[in-house]
Amino acid sequence: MASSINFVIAAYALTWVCLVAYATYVHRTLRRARDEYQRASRQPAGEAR
Amino acid sequence: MIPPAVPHHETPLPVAGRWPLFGAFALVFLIFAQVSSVLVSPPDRDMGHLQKIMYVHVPAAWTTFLAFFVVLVFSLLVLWKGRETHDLIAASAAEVGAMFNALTLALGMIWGRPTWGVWWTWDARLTSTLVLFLIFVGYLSLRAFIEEPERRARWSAAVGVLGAINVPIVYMSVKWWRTLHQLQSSPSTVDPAYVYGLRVNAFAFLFVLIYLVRRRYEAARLARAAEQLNDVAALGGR
Repeated sequence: MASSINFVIAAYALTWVCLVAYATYVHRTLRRARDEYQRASRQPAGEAR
Repeated sequence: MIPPAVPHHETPLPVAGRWPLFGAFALVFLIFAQVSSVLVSPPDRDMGHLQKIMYVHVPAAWTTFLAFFVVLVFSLLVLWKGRETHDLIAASAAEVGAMFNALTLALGMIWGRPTWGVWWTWDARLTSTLVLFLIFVGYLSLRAFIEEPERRARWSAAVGVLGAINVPIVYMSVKWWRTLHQLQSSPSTVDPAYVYGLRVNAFAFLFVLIYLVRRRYEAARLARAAEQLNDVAALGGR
């Protein structure tokens, strides 16, 4: 009984770790892309990095 | 003859809009779905509380299938119309789908250990799900290796279509090859006491999928637009 509950806890914990980690990665990627786009938009022609 | 990739300036850049609000809704709904289903459903006669793993394992599998269906549709659109926007949607869905696929496999292992006595077995369902995962890891690796956007879009669309064809094989594997994995769980095959939990979590995972694919696509479009602006700037504004 206690052992089966441990497996249930592990399954739900893994689900949350996986979803939160991936959502964090997506948000960081989005923030980086937005910053990069804003930098590129301000850049005058002929001055690419 | 595959048409050339059309520059994706043709469609406006995606904006955040109300998506952060939708993300918050998806998060709250997921918490509600998990808490309510765990509290409401009685322990199974054979599996006891282990049955509750179904509320995350099965929706994760359905979400994987749905994400790869999106890959199939948008990959076909890439091959047909050659638009980069479609390629970026397919790539975003493939990445999110691969994440849900890995989660499905890991949850299956956690469920399999106490019920079957093993973490892994070369059962038809498990093996075909692993093959599906490897195909989409290959899809994402391919995208990382090809720099030229037009070629990347076409090659990955071809792999996306081939990979998504594997989805019906994974789904039917438990019927075609009766091995260790049980038949598909759905509201029509499980005990009525478990239908609520399965349905509410399926919707919660669907909302999470929609949110993640949309945000990942937004990031991909912005990154690509920045790349194009940098290229134009490097060419002196031509």
